[in-house]
Amino acid sequence: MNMNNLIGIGLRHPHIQQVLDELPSVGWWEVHSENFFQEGGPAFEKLVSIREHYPVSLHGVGLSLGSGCGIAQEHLRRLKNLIQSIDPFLVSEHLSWSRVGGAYLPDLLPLPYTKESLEIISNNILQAQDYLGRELLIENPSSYLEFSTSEMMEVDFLVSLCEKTKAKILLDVNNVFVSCANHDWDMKKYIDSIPSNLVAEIHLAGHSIRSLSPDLELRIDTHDTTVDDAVWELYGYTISKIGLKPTLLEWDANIPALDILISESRKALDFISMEASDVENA
Amino acid sequence: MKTLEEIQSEFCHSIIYEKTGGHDFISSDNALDRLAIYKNTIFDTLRKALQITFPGIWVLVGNECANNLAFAFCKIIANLPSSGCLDDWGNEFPDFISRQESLKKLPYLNDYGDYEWLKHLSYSSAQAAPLGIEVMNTISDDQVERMSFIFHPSVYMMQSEYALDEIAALIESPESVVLNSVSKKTFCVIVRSDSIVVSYWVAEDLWDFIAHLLKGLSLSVVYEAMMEHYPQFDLSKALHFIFQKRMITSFRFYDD
Repeated sequence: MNMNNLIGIGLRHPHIQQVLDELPSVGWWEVHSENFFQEGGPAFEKLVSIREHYPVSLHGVGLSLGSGCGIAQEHLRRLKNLIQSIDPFLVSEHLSWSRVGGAYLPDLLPLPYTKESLEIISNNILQAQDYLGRELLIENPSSYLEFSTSEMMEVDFLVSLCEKTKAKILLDVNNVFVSCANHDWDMKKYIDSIPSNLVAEIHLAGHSIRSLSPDLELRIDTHDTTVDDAVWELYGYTISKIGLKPTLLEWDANIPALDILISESRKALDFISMEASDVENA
Repeated sequence: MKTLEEIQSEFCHSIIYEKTGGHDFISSDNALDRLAIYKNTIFDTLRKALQITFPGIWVLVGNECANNLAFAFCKIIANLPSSGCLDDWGNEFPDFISRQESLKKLPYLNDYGDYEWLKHLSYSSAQAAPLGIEVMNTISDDQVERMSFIFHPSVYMMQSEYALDEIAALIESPESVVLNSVSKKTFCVIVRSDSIVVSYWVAEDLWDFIAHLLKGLSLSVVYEAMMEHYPQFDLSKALHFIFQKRMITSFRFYDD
């Protein structure tokens, strides 16, 4: 297996033309689905061209699978059109919500982990998968608060959700780190609770630390810097538990030059090679 | 116990109206500070989306004022996006800013905002291959009477009582353009050529001609109307213009 093919990068607007011109050695690219929802235009045409050279994964940020009012049919229709045009190897969304009462709030908002939520979100995922005719990957969120009504741990909620819907997990290791740090959860226990066969993709990204008060410091999922050493370490632990999976580096703010992104993403290769060699020796 | 939808509604109101109490649905301490993280991301994302669509408005009123306008616009729930695709959102913003008392002295802002919105729509419209004018050589005289044109999906038009052409030039080159008066009728045709959205500031007769054709009227009907209102209208020159600017992708005949 060519290990390099496991490593992908989140493709953002500033690099699209350069990628087309230089066709760098990157295993695959992931784009935000909603950035290509318009009927056409230069951005869409360029994505079609990139798809001729690389596998592409579609990562949604606006379907709002966690909405109590259900999911928007028009959003699904546009996603299906994009899937038909791009033929992505993965399609993913978030365990979060953004839409309520006809208003869309552009952020990945946290959910109370209750039996009612589990039922509603399961139905939303089943409806989406049925309409799209394919499996979805659901990403664990980074979160900054917890709800008084929650009845179960996030990881148990996520696993139950995927078992009920036959969706897979997009395991964002940085989000695990951020949420566990913010809520004093056990990171390794979080990883250990996930059956390896449920995970279809891993995300990595940088985060920052913000002091809210003298005694409250939160990790914020800013995607604006290199991956924290502690997150790399958790990534190593994760692949030792769940095996090698397509792994993506995301960088969405203060976006650096493409060669820096590629170089950062290749750090994952060290962990992947080490894990592959351990498996071989065993 | 509150339902998921009730919690999400309260969450939304807490953020948009910046409520300082009633966050019993949050169990974490420092609930307000934690909510502020989400609030900042939401307002910042919305502001950036508006600034990308309306860059000229940011120049005309200045960053601080434009940012405040964006914030005020988003504090009204009815103005928030209704879909998860932010490219769909923002067409109400020009009207909102034109209603602000402090900006009444800039009466052209609404039209300039509408102009930027049309450019935004043009940029992300569907692809289509434009036809060259040589296609007209294949049309018989009888067919010309009955033909109508299918325009490129990126073609948008607007007219204004203000000198939008000069305002656009001023925004592009603030040092080299002097704006004498903002009162002047302007007629604009917008089209995307390859990856670039181009604005053509045209004469009223040419604008009327294109506007009639864009409605799907046949060339003969449009020509008659043009002759009635503009006896000097040059049909050949106008046809060359719309083909040369890559505005036509197809045509049809009225009894087809």
